[in-house]
Amino acid sequence: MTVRGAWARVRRFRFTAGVLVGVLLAGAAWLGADALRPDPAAWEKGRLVIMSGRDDSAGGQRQVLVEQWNRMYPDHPAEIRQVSGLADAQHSEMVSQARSGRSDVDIYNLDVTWTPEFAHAGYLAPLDERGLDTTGFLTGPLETCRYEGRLWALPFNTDAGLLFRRSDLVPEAPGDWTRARADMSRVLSDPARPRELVSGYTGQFGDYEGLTVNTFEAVWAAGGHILVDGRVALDDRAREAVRALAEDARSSNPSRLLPESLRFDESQSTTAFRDGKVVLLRNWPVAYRRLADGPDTGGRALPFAVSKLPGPSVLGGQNLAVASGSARPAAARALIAYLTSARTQQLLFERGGFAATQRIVYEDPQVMARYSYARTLLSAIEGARPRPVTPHYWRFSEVFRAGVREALDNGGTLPADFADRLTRALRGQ
Amino acid sequence: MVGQGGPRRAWVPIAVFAALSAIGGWLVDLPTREAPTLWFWVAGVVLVLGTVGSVLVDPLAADFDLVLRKVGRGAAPVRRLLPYALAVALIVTAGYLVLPFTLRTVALWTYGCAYPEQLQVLTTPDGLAPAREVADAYEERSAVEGCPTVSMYVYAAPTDRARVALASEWSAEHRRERPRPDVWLPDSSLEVAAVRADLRLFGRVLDLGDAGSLGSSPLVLGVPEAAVPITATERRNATTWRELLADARSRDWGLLRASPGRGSGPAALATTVLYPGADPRDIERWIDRTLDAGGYPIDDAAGQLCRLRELGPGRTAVVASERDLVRLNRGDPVGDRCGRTDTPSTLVLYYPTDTRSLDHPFVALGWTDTTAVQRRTVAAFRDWLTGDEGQRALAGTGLRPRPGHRVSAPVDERRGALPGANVLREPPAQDTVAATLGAYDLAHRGGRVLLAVDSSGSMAEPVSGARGSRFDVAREAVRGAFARMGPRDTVGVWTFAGAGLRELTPVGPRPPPTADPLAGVSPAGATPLYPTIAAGVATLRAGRDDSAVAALVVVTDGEDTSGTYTAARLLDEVRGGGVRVFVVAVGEAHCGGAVAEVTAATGGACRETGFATVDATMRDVFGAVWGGGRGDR
Repeated sequence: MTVRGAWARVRRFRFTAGVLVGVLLAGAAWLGADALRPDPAAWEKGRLVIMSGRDDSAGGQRQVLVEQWNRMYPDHPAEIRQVSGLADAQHSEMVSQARSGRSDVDIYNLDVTWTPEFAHAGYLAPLDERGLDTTGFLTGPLETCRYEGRLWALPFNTDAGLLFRRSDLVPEAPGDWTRARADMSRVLSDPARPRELVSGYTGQFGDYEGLTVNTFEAVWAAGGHILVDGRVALDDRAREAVRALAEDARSSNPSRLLPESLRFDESQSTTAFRDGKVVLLRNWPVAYRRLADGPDTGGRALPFAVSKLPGPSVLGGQNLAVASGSARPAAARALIAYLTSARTQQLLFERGGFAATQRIVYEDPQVMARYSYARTLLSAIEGARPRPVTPHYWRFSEVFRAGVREALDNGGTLPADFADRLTRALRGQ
Repeated sequence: MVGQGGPRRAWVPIAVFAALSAIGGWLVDLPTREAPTLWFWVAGVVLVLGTVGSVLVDPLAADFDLVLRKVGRGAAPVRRLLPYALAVALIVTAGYLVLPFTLRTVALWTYGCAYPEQLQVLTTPDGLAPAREVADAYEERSAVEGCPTVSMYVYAAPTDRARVALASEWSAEHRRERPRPDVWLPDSSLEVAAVRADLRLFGRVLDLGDAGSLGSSPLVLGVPEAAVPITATERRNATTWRELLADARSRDWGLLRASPGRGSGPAALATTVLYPGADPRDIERWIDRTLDAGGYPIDDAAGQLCRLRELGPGRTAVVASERDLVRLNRGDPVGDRCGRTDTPSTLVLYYPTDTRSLDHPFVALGWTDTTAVQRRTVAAFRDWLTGDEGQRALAGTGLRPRPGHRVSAPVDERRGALPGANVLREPPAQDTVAATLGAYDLAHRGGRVLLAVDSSGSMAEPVSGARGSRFDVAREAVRGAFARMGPRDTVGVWTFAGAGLRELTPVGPRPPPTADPLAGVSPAGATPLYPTIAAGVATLRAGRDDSAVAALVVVTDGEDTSGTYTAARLLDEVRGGGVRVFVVAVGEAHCGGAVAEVTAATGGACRETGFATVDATMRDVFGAVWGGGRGDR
């Protein structure tokens, strides 16, 4: 064979190889694009049922989005089957449905802490990441959808605690609790302080999930630990943080923690702040809209500002997951992709007050201009930490709250066997 | 060949094969995490199979061939077989006993407990705390190696709401409020009979089972210890209701009883024991005076007891179940507002000879899609409750257990009770109760209501899933409420927004069915909630007479933006005037702060609701106000 002949063969081979590679790339691109593009022909027909807690957001925005979906895809209509807004009732009803084996629910809207439980128990169908574009989601919220290396849901809305402060009394955001305590003392010791101001701060310390969340945040703010790598590692700083909480609750004339806070949930604590009883409030971002000037306030809303908490926040929110018993899993996945897309997330944030799970929403110049707390919220979410990722979180939180409640009633000392109790609770005992 | 170590060598493959089989079975079983009892059998079967399998594997197969051949020839080979048989038996037995425990322990440490069955238990508001105590005890008792086998969610609904929800077979509207229950724990079989009748009427197939009694609690009269003359203490189980009431009236005691209008079993029974031999109107006027004087809520029994505790020892007697009063005397939490106390009330309990009892049935609800597992879980709970342990737990909540079980604390002298009192354990006949409630309808006073509807800017927002705005939804709910007015009821309508109030109709008789007083109102402006409450109370107070319940009902989706009233000032202005304030907080509005204080202090109530359920909430509120009950008229 001559050199030219050999080269010709190589060129022919190169051509063939090039064609082959081109076809493969095109095919891959087509397949990839197809995976991301809605393909209603591949979806199972029939009604999709989303089980979710009661939506009391302004204008029922989730329902609005579902109605929009129904207009776009009339062969795959969806309905939200609302259950009680109370977390206990919601969890019980969803577990009961999932365990029955006869449920017609296609999608569960789960609290982020329930995802491992539902995944582990086999109530959910895993999501195939190859068919989903998850790049736009904020890392923390997306991580709450994973369990044991698989993706089980997509984040519907996220949440991180914020510090609301009376901006007329505390102009600068306190960076840590030492500074926050100093601010509270200064304001409360001022004889000219507003008459209705009776305490330093309030939060959610009633006997429900709020107590777990607020205590975790107090411990983290003090540099303490409750769990490390999924194991109970209650340290002295954690115990000290709980003791400090109890002291704040016991303090008087004026009290640092508003005494009624030990019974408060989100709305009651917001009311107390709104009524001018406290200088600082720990709450979720949804409180912002209740406190801000609206169509009803006529410019007379309480002067307040929002900042990150002095320590990391607990990461909250809800995830949408496909029920393992769903007869329409492909259509359910498509509906979840739609409800968690950037556009719908922006609508839910702007109209419903739900913290978005897609980063792009917070980078929108209009959003930043209209919602001054958006940047703070994004920063809080990025710094937020998850609660223990365990299939027995429900039990863990119950036991944790019981121990903290015991401590608050007894001078702040956590039970001697608290770590053992928590370890057993992580196993569901 | 049998040589080369003999039976000792046989242990190895047997053990390895059996262990591998068991582990394989365990791994296959993991995703479903079946109950430990099943594990036990699975491991046992796997071990037997593994052992049998092992004898078929070399080198034992050859040994056994040889053995079998020799067995046919005489007794000597049998002796040689014996060690094999013993080895297999020992391993199987040991594996059978030890392996399940080992596997369970490993599984527990690796994956945690298996998930418990879920049980949803509906009860009455008064029965909530006792039911939760019993449920906690059962969860703990039924746990295996510290793992709960059942997880209970116990919640309450007013009896009339429960009745409607059950009759609708727990429709979507009711699911939004509460989960569909597996078990219903009403106060008496009268409530069960009413639901059975509803189900028949609507052709429903919901199965209520036999609804057997779990225990009983007699209706008693609780009198503050200080008000009881020493001479009367010996006659606590020796007079009739009629004699006792005559005595109470002569001593000028007040009389408390929750309104029976919302279907409450205890309230209906209390009315049934109070009316015989008396003029129902006299009884109701007596109760009305007590309610108004103390600012007691009308239809909330727990709220009344809480208020009684707040007011301290006085001269007010209360008709209630023995269970609720011994719990009050024990210092247990009462209702939403009164927590546990170390300085409890000291009521002395009277047991009239003609009193009747609440029989506390257990109703297993058989829905068409209830699974066999759910039925078994419910049956196990019922069996426990009716057994020794469950009966002890029920007695601890203040109930008298079923015959054959002992009455115990807190039903004792220390809590003001007479554990040996001679009382009937059953409720009266259904016809008697129906006749009593008919008499109550004629005897109770009417309601004089001022309805103030928020017409601020936010009420113009559209409501998802409904036609029109928030204001339109409220307007419909108001028209629905008018339809429930009785002949003695009167009503007036205001709206409030921006700078102030607007009177649409003055307080007067029932408007015609076509009336739509809120038509033409355009929502706009701020929310002067506190000035509205103050003005509404002042208006009703000005025209007040004791023959009607005076109530201000406010429907709002917001919070006060007037800036002219502090919570303290509002409370000062509305307290003690005999006018009850009710607030329906819808959408973003909340029952907290001043609103909660004002409604509690005036004997009213605040109810949070969504727009989808505002109609039902209005029905509840007007049920309480108009005539003190019968909201479903």
